[in-house]
Amino acid sequence: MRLIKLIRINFANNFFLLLPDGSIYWPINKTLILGDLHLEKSSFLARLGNFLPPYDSFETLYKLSKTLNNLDVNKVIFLGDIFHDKDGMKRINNKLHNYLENLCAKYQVIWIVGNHDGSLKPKNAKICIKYNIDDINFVHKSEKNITNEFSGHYHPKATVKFFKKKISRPCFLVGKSKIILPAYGVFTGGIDSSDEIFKKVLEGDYKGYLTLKEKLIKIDF
Amino acid sequence: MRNYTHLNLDNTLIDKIKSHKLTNWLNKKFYYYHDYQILSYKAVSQKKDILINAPTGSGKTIAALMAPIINFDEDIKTGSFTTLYISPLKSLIYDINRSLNDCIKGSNLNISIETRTGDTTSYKKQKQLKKPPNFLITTPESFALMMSYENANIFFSNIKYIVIDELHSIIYTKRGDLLTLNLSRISSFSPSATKIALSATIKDTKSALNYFSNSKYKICINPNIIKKVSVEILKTSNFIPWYGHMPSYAIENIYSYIKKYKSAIIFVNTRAQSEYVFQSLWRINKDKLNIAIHHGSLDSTLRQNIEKKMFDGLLNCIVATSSLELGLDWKNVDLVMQIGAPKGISRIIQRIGRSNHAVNKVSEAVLVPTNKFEYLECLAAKDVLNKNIFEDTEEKTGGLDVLAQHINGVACSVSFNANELYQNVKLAWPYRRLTRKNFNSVLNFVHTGGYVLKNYNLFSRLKKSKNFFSIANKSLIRKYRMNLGTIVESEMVPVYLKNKKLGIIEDYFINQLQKEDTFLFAGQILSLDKFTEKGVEVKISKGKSPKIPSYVGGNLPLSTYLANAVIGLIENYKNYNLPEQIKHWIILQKKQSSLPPRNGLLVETFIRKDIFYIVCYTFLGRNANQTLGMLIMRRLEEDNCQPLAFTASDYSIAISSVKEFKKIKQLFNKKLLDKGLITWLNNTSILKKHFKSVAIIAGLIDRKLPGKVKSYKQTNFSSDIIYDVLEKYEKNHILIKITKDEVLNNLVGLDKLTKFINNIRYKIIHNNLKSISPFAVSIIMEFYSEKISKEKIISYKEENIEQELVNEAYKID
Repeated sequence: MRLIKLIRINFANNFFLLLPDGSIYWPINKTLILGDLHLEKSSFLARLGNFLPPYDSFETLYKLSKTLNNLDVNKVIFLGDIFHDKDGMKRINNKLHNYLENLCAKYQVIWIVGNHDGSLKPKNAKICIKYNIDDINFVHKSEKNITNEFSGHYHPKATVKFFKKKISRPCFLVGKSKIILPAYGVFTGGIDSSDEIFKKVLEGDYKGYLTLKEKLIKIDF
Repeated sequence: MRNYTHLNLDNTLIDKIKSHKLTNWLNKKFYYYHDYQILSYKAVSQKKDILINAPTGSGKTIAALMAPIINFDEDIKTGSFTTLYISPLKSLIYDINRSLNDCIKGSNLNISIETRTGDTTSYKKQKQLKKPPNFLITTPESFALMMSYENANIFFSNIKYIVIDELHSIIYTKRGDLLTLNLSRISSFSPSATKIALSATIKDTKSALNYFSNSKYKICINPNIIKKVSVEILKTSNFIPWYGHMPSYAIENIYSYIKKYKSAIIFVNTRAQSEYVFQSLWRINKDKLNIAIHHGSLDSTLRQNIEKKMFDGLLNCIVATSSLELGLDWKNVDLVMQIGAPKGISRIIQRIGRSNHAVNKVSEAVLVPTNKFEYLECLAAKDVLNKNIFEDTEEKTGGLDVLAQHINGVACSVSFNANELYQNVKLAWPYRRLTRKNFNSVLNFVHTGGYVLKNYNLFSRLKKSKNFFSIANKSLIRKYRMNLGTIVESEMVPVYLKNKKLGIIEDYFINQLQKEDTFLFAGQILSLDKFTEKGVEVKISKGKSPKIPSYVGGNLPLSTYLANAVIGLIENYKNYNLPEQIKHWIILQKKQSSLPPRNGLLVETFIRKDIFYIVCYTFLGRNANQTLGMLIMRRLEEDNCQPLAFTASDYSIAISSVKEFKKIKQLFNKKLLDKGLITWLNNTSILKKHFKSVAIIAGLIDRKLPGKVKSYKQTNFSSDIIYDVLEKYEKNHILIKITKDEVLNNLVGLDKLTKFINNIRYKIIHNNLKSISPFAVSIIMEFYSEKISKEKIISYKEENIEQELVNEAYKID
């Protein structure tokens, strides 16, 4: 395994590790936290006449399987928008569907429902709108006046200049009492981290951690 | 009317022209037909497609419209919509509409003329479809749009003439390719339509004629009219800079020129230059001259306003980019100035032709170089212009992304048979060698995306029954029309000042700015206020040092012809009356190193402050030089020389490294290209960048319309990711293939480089110098200036470095 650089943060009296693939690992609870996956986005867009490469679900789940294999995980928390649309789960191919079902059997899966998800869910997952453990809150979209909160929904990304090249990548946003995860899915756009909305949502100042292939870069706003 | 007996024409033909109201009206205005106009009329009346190849201002529009007007009474018997006039530039369309209307009214004829562009209201467009005018003036894109209508074959069935204006500006471009496909299709349902193309300064007329016409009967009409030009290079006692592209040294001189003339156009190469020159001129505008600015990012109403003022003779000067290059007829303009190097001969002829537009008057032009090498380029251009030489147009095969768009458009209009469409596409000149295999791949892509996994068969874009295809549903037609066109600009954001739209600006530029940062736009200093749903809101600012948008797309490559002319000039510098500073510079270069040889290559190496430099004077143009620079970097890496950076201009490349590279003579061989190129390309953003435009033209991803971006942000994602996924899972996908082919041949100049390396291999002059040479100062300064402004890693100031380098080069202690 190649050496991957992680970032350790102290949040809500707990240690968390930010991973370059866009997920967060919570060592003490052996939990992996994941932002929006938007599976089957390409087949959704194909209906509208844009034929994007039909490999996005595979690529996203492959990325997830690599991370799971490298960590000691008991629990997986999906922060909503696991599928891009309500029929997504009907369209996903059998192999990947089985992979998801197996995942829910192997790990304890918390499946938070986002604004895109439909009614079809895997058998063994715990389905909920929010989830709370050890005084830490997990929701899809950040809510007002809730502290110690992990959420997704906004797909934050940021741009850095690397020599003469500009690189725009998904980005973690870490506020005082709220963390927004970047989208985990490969075919997901995003809102720039310097957008005014984040000051409001995160209720104050925040830092960003840009995800590169094998490391994270800290950004101040 | 004049006597045309020497043309040996049929009497009835002459009588017909003579007795027509148009002729009477023209004669009353003391305008008499040129021979070539009569010959054009004759050829068109005999149903021959023609290409009229003549400089601007020689009456081509009249030549083209004689047949549609004089034969109108017979033509109209079989259908009232007789003539389609296609012009690539919107502003030109209004111009032609105006002069054509004058002509029709003046001659007291009953012919209706209308225009149709993206700005035409949908009410008017609907009306035009129900009751078309006699003559319709439109753009290639609006024409393509009409061709996608269900009843296009009926709508155009009785058309008699198709006029294609300014052919030289679209020939062998993707815009031109799309037009040829539609022309090929229209000839299948209106076979009697005669095509008349107008073009300026094309050398290879045979290829140009074939480009738009697949008729057996076609001729080129060369009026042999030569437009006289008088070109000079700006005289200045000021110091011509070593590097950079802003004419700050010459602003006072420019101002005194425009004061002397009635009305001037100042052409620049980039939008950044236009904003800079405009600002600087106003700063010293003591005489309160009326100076305006014109470029493609300005709002169309603003632009039209400026154009009208210019037409009415209300402006002293207009600073413009290529947005004003084409045939606008402004009688007042008596001076053209060109800021920066001309880059190509055809282009500069087009620009100079704007002054004293009428063909019998001398066009006056002043070239303003912005640095020393540009001075040489301007001088070389002047030389070529005086000799009346034209450049070759390079033939290119038609883009397959354009073909995808065309197939989609045809499907919107009719249910088509794949075999028949393939045969029809092959009739378009740029697609004459299209293989059935490639056609099928493109068709397959339009149909279901063309992936190995047949995931999308359920959602296919086309309905297929046997070998017939048609569009699957109505919403796809709307989508096609929204995305039509082959011009892919970078993402743009609308700019608003107190609710008034000023124009659009590059997304990536505006996103770098913070609130209250200032920048130049639409000739004003503005400060950023906030981003809104509509776009970006700005305020007027009094700030003194605004940032300048570094617009992309302004970097036109140097033409091979002009590059050779520059080398020739350097070789024969003694035969020219050069300013002292330029002469001194060349003489010193010759003394301390060598002059760049013809058909060879000068390479200089030297060590400066412990860093090793290689400078190559390739004269290959920026794109090819950039590629070569990258490849040399890789080569140096393989030899453990620790390369640091490189910089490329149109004329030369400089590479810096920690250790000396000793095998200069073995550097330029085929191995350099074979091994490195693809690996290098895969690691750059060039492929991804180009993939985006291919994907938009082919219809894989949607065009982003200015202003509609914001609310979509979460669902839009970068085309880079699509490229990565496609490259990983399906390398042989047609869009990847198109991207790689086009990048290799057009963008990185593989052809050019291969030829270059074969030519110079045994003719390398390697000078190992003790210090920097006078010619190298320019490129090394580019090197430093890039570092200073972009990375801020060097502590001392730019001027100090410049002075140091010059001292070293000129051996001044």
